Amino acid sequence: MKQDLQHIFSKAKKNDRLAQKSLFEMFSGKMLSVANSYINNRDDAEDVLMNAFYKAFTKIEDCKNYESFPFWLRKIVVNDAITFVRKNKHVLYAETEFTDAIADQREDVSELSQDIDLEIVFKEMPVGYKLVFNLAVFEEKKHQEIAEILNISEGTSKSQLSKAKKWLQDYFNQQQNTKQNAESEI
Amino acid sequence: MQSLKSKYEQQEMKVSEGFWDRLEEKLDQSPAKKEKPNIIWLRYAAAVIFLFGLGGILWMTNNKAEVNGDQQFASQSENEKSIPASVKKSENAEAVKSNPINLILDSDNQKFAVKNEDSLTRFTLNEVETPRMKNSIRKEKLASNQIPEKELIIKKEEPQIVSKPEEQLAHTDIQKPREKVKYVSSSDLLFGVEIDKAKTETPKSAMGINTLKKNDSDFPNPKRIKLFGITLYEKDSITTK
Repeated sequence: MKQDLQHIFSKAKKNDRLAQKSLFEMFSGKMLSVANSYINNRDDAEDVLMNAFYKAFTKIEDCKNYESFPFWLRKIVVNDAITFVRKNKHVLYAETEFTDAIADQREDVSELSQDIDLEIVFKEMPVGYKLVFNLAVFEEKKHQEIAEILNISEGTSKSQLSKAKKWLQDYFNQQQNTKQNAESEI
Repeated sequence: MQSLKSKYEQQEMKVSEGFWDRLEEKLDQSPAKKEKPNIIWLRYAAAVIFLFGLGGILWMTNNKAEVNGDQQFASQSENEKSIPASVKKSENAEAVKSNPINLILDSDNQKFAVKNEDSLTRFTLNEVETPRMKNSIRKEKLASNQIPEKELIIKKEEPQIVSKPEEQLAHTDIQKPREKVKYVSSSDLLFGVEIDKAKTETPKSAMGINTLKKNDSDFPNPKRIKLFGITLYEKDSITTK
């Protein structure tokens, strides 16, 4: 697999269309879901993915190592998705001071539920929470980095994350309640 | 959170059909972008070629001027070269000579010619130092020294040698720009006459030119001056006397 990727990557660097196609087939599915997690619209996510792949193939010279290609491509997709969201949706961040006490309370809350439909979560979650949550949880970014990417203060990033977690907890509780209600009714 | 993350990482979405085709189409259009730097490169190349061309033209024009100078000199040297050949002919045809009067005249002419040759050869020695030329010059000198002793010259060759300085003189005369003769027009002459008339009719005092000067000047205006025992009279004072 690794050797395959290395071979394909070196070919794609020489602008080989077949190698580019195989790279696209390898990563398009994953990258589309990543883009969709930010944008929440399949068509828009595909547009963003198209531009991201175009960028990746035209500037493939900038990516020196084949092992870093998946991460490099993902970075492009995430950045493009965020810029798309910021352009098309007016994101409002409630500038509230963050307190560590709140964060500690929320830390292990989401561990409760295992059966989560992520797509529904992303659809329901407010955009402001979602961006910070995605970057912090899935992209494993630090608050400082998130603050730079989203052009917000570090405090806002922290508070948005804690709020997102709270929102998620409430959402699970609500879901569980509805489930329990349904079971009791039966 | 970890479970959420692993779920997120496992999630994949299928791309719609024809997505790759659209991407391929977009990628095929990309080479158009790559042409831009080429155009810039071509501009630089054109500028360099233009500069080289300009430099070349300037260099050629400079060279032409130099070549013209060389050609003038070359024509002179060619004439010189013709001299030894003619002299050789004269040596070969020694026995043919008959007229004694011509011989004397010719010998005089030859001397004159030889002088000219010397002046020219000096010039050539300074300017050109090719061995061939030097040889020809030596031959000339030897031949020209021999001729007055032997007093044998062919008439035919003489005019060629003697005519050279004359030609050069004529040539230089043409090159000099002729001064244009200025003719005085009738109107100018008449105008001059009118001015003279005005001068004689109106006295200087009336015109107000000399009156002030005479009154104001403190400088002594003697009628005669003695210098080293010689008395000098003013022009007017002599005429009155």
